[in-house]
Amino acid sequence: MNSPRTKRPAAVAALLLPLLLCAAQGAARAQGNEAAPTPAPRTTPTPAQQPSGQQASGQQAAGQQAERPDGSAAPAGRPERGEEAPLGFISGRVVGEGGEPLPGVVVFGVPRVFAGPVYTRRTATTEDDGSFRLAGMGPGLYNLSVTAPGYVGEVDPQTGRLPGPFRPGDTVTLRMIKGGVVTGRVTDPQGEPVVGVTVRAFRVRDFDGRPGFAGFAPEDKTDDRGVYRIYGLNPGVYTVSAGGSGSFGGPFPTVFDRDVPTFYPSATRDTAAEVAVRSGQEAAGIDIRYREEQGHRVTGTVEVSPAIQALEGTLSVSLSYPAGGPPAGTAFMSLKSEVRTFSMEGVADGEYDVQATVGARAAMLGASPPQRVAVRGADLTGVKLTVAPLATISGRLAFERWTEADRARAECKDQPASTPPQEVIVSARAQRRTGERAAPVQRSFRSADATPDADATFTLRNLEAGRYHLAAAPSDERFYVSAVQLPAQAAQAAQAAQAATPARRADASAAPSKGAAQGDVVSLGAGQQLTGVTVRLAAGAATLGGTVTTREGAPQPSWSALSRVYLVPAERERAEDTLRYSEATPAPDGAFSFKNLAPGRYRLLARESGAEPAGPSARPVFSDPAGRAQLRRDAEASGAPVELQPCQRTTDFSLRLP
Amino acid sequence: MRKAYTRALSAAPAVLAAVLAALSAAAFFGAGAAAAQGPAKPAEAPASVSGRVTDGEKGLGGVIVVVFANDPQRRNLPAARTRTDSEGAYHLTGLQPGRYYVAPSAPTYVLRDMPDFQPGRPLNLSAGDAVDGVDFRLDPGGVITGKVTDADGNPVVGETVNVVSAEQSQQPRAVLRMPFDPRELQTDDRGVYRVYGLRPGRYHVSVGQAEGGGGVRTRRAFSRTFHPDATEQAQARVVEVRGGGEAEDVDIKLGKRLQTYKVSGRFVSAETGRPVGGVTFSVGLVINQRDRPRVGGTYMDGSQSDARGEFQTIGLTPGTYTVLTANDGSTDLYAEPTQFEVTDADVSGVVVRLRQAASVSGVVQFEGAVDRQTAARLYREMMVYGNLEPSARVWSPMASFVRPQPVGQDGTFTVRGLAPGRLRLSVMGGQPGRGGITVTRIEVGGVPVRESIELREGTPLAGVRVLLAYGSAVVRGQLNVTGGVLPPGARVMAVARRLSPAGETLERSQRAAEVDARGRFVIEGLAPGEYEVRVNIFGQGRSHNSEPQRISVADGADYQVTIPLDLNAPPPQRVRP
Repeated sequence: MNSPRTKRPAAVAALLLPLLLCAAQGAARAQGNEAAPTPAPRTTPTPAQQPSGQQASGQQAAGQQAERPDGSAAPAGRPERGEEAPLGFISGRVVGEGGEPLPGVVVFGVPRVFAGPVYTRRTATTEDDGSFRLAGMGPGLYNLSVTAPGYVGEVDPQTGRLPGPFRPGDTVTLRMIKGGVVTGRVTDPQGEPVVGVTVRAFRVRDFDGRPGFAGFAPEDKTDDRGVYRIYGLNPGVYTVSAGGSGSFGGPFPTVFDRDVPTFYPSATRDTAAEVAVRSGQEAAGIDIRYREEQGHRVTGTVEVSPAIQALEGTLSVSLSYPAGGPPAGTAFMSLKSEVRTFSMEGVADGEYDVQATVGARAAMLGASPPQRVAVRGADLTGVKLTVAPLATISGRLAFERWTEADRARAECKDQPASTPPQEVIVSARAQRRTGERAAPVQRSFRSADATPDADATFTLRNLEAGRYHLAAAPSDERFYVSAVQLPAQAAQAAQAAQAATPARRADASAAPSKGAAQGDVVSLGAGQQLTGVTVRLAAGAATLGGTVTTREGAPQPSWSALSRVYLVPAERERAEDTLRYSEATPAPDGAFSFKNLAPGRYRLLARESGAEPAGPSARPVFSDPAGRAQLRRDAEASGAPVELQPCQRTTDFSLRLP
Repeated sequence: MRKAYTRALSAAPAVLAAVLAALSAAAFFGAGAAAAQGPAKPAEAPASVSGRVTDGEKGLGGVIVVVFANDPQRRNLPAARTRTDSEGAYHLTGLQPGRYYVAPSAPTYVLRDMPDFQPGRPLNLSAGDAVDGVDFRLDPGGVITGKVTDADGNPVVGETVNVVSAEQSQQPRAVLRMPFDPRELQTDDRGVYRVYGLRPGRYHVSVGQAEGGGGVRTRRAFSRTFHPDATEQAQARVVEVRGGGEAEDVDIKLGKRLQTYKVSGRFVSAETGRPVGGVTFSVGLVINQRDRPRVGGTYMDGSQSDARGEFQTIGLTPGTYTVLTANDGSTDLYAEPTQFEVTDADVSGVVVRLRQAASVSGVVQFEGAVDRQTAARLYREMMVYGNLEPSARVWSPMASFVRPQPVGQDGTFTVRGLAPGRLRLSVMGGQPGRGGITVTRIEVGGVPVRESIELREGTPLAGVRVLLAYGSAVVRGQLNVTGGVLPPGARVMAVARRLSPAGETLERSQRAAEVDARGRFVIEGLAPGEYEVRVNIFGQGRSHNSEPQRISVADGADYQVTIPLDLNAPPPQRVRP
């Protein structure tokens, strides 16, 4: 009975679960979109750290490569369907700022990409020495999150995100820092305390300028004196608002839910003052003079095709700010109902994007194109949205053949022939539209991530119509992506492979045949289910790391988050191969690192990336031909030549600024 | 606090059931809110409400008064709001006809003579109504504040404080306003808590888990400690709260952290022994209540068993637990009741055997004339759900709840994943103001079912016929109370029960509506037929009900009834909700 969850909330939770999962997935997507999908730098597990079972299967696999009609090796080490893959564990410690162990911290291990409808996670609590062990984890990539009241996980300074993802066999040290505090008092126009109003803190950006919103905004309610206190905040720059229903409403509504939020000090969203919140510090006196303004109402209807209506799902409409951040309103409605009308209250004057989505448990099924609307001094009625089905891309992962000759190289003696498919991230990113700027986080139907199953098949879901770049990132740095083949090209490649001799195809330095230069770009229609994509991985990847220095050889101190280091292919025939281009953001001390590189000749170049920060939809400049041409010209003029051999590990490259 | 809250609810099981049903319906239909808002109706003459908010006789200025829709799906959306003037008077205008709740929002005060579960006054407004005298009396509440520290003197962050009445004899009731936000009882990053709006009285304040209470904590757990540092309630220091006063420095010094344990296991098919993945599960604490084991609290985080059928949960304190599976209608398996004990170590290797579930399938049909188009629309909006009393040893609300399933275009339905037991089927559907559906009869293989359908393990039951009546008749009523006044905080409901041709009331075939502060009620969506209308009053653990009145309802008609109720009449007969 003293359980924190009594039976009543549990019953409600059971009902709300599909919704929560959708929301959680939305949040996960939002987070995933904040930065490039490349895993954060991580150390390669030493053989001792590898779970024994996994290693055994890897060795066994090396001798068992099967030739396929297209000349690729079967993904080795994978079990037959139904056969149990070996289990591993992720262990480590949770420490505080001073390295002191933190006991009683809950550590969650959640799959990096939600794989289908099943949601599994592993949980552990740290012991007195801060140690934890997440056991029973199958091959795959996992994000770890840590929770302790008042603390937040320390982010990787290079990515601004929590370190990870991790693989079974990894040993990790997670640091937690004391969260920041925002406190103040909310009063009405007469100076009386406003009691029981919800106050929310939105992180606008982190101290490096990266967009800061990830999921829900922390909140508190004012007490009988009008005082609020929000603690456990990630460091960064915040706006603070009182009133309004928040992004998703809440289980504990207040009489202020239909108001327009009043931002600190007594402002609208556009004129809100920013509040800097630092780890372990208190931003006090953030007093809000509450405006008590009832907002306007936005109403409309949603059209849904009979095919979508027949599905089991939830229809929701969100109202989001074009500049990003948490939605200004969300409405849910019955998909089955004949008349699908929505109404969102408490909307302030301004411009918004309205979008309807149909989601089912852990999956989206359809979405309307976002529609820009303006609210000006009155209710807005008659918004019409039409939900279109979302597209999917599916395919498989294949491994280039790894020969005796390659294995004989001294640098390649630790090189396995394959990596578990579940530890590769396959992604699709919409091509930038002409003149398009960073899109808000809510518009998440323009990118998708997937991890293949044990049988090496993958499906990228929830994509709106458009042109997409396909890419993949193996988390094992000893592999690189040699080609992304679309169905037609895959067929051609298969024909070519039958004619080719195995020896020629296996030559790691000779590239596998690739289709057109734009081969990794695919065009999707609404609801299209594209199949037959092949992502080819090759062993023998190189890594290249080092430091950006000034002309005088000293580390560049004022290196900002807007600067980038580029690796540009030097071989002419690779000029249009986007897989051969790489981009890295150097750390504040100038350190940079490239992994999963194809052997070959390159030029290394440092330059400003342009005005756009690494936002949710930021795409590398080399994703369009003009950007590649410019990079090549710059690289030829001032880039440093680099030749990478199979399995080469360079960590001390010194790149001088031009 | 938790204890007081639970007790207050158990004092009114009927109310709890009603609230649960309302919550379930709202949650299922997509968290309500705008969902229920149909197409804009043509504007009718608006209504208005006015009254006064006082502290004793003194008018209270600046108090927010809110009108909420009295509709489970829109209950929490304020329809209108104003502030009282300096004399405490308020006047709310421009209200569309409909059912509402009017309530002051003054969380530092305690509302006098109000039910705990939904403080406010119901009002059924007709076009052009101008209702005056909807008054509220408030009493200033008190504050308890203090700091919670652990054995080392460090602040205990994010811990919930329990505030319970120290008076043993007092009628159990909620200490705080409802619905309260549990976060208001939590300590902040300095270990400081502040509870306001408390009824004047004597309280015990504690943090942590009662001895042998068991339960799942995903964070650290402490054994229950009362202010200032007592582990027994008898040694707890009483905190005196006066209206408008503040009890400060009500600090609590906690003892050692409680050790919590982990449980892991796997789901296997009882038939084949193979693991079953993707099972949504929860872990529930088993308590014995009146010698009958039941689940006293469940913990569920939405996690599912993995491809190997394995599951895991952390944070268990010593106690007896059971593993429950969610019946979401998607699986054809149900879990055998599986219990395990947590004493002083992690528990592993719990095997939960899944057995073949029963299913129920059949068709929903209309009695009487319903045109094809209307029937098609009603089928689209319709859900078949039920309440299952499993024949298992351990009862839990999770096992008994049957997730609503949609109805096909031709009225067919299937409900899967049912454990053996007795199932009461129901149908929900129809939209407010557009006519209602009522279940008139359920047949299995042509034989009428009186109460519930018996389900045997793994046996599909086909050929179930659910007969419905559809209609849009309305009964408007007025309750006239004599022989006294209604008990303070009473909830008054009007119920129309359909009569079978033999004149018996049909358990499933009823429609209900709340009677408002003026004694008015409107029961909508009645199908043609014979009905019995009566008014039931629930309040302070007692109940009254009026004499039934019989009405013959014709299709789409509008009836007026007056229901007399003499509070001095012979002992009230117990009514079923």
